[in-house]
Amino acid sequence: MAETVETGREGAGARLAGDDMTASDVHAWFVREVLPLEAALMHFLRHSLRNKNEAEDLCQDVYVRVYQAALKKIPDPAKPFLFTVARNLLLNRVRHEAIVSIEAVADLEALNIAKDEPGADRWVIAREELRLLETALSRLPRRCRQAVTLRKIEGLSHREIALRMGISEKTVDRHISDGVNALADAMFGEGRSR
Amino acid sequence: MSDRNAKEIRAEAADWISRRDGDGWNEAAQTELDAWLAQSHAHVVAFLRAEAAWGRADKLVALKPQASRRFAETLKDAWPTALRAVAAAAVIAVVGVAASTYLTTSNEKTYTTPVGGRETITLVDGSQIALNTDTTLRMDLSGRERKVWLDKGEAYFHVTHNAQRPFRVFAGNRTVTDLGTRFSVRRDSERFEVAVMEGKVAFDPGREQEKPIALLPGDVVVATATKVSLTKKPSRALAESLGWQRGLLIFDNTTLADAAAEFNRYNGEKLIVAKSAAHLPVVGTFRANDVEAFARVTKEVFGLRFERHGAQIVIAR
Repeated sequence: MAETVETGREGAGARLAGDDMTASDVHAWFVREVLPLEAALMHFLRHSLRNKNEAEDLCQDVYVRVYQAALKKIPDPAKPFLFTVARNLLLNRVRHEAIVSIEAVADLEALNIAKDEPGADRWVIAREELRLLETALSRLPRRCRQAVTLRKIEGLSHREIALRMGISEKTVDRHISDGVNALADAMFGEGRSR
Repeated sequence: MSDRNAKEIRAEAADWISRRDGDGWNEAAQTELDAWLAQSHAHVVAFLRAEAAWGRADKLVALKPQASRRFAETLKDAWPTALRAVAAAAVIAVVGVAASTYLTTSNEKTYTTPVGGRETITLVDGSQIALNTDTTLRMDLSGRERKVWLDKGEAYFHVTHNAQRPFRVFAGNRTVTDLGTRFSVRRDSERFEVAVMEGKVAFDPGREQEKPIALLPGDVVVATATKVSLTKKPSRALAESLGWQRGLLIFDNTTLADAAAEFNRYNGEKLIVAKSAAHLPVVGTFRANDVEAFARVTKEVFGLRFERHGAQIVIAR
């Protein structure tokens, strides 16, 4: 947590100097400012897309655009920018593929989600986050949950987990990878209650 | 827009995080990762997302010291279905482990666990008692006071406080009185220990001209025949000392001799550590009943020799 704050300050300094952002500034900014908006973004995208399954892909596209823009200049505040990018991408789809309802896109202002409301989408407080994590953990498939538990709660290495569970390290990697994915969704996206 | 869908890219990013989190990570792998990241910004954002999530998941460790949770797990893992059903119906006052008939009074019940055993008892008032390996405990709940005698072994108490009905644990001439709390009591032949995880207890060393001591969370009292000492332990260390509730022994710079002695509480097969290896520091988490794994790891790490003599395993340099 502390390092994020540190990097943020450096980022601000760089902005004053008018230089392009360094990649690590942008990375820190992305994690700090953009990822916490994912739940709201996904909500907006699902609301607007006829095919809900595309929300994830679109979210990823929004991230790429926002990230690329930030490499030139970090948009501050992040939230209106993110949603403007999202809306533009949606409008593109309307034009090319006619898969979005125009009303939904026009709703952006009405939904009132593009305004910057500091705090509203900041990191859920620690306890809330722990609750999210715990819920996500409990929903993992049994073996995967076991591997993540041994790693994060018991602090075992992948090798030790392999010994403990009687499986190969490769399989441990597999379980941990699935765990990473599920925890990311829980923390940033779908799993998070609005 | 992107050539592949978000799911695939996110799965790949998660693979990288997992690989990097593993034991085989090296410079070559890092170079590979850097190349993957350089391929597209889609890779970068997916990686940042996975990395942030996995880092934040470190918070899960907070689940560790919560012994009440562990109780839930203990119940889930260890209770025979029938016992659980009985407890759920709350039809009887006490669910016995091995309620025996050797009773000094008619209201006393005795609970025992064998070497390597572990059981949890739930009382009607919601209090729970977890018995560790090789433990004998008697209980009398009929009177105004709730009384428990720890004859030997170790037990963890999560007591539903009731000022009208004090909960007392007797161990020889020593008494621990609950004042709303979670605590553990261990009684070996020469040594007595009480550790408080939450709330407050009163500890009476049971000797003339010594007053009861009030113990707060983190307090650990160790009493031998000749002396009583009080130390403070961080909650993490206390939580580790309760690993047995999940069948785990957790060592943090414990000497090999002490670690072996811990294992010996749980297993018929006894470890004997030669003087030359006794002081080696052990760090790690082990299944209490898996002496083999412990032997294998110490062998690898310290390059020790193991010799089997019947039910004894001698560890030497």
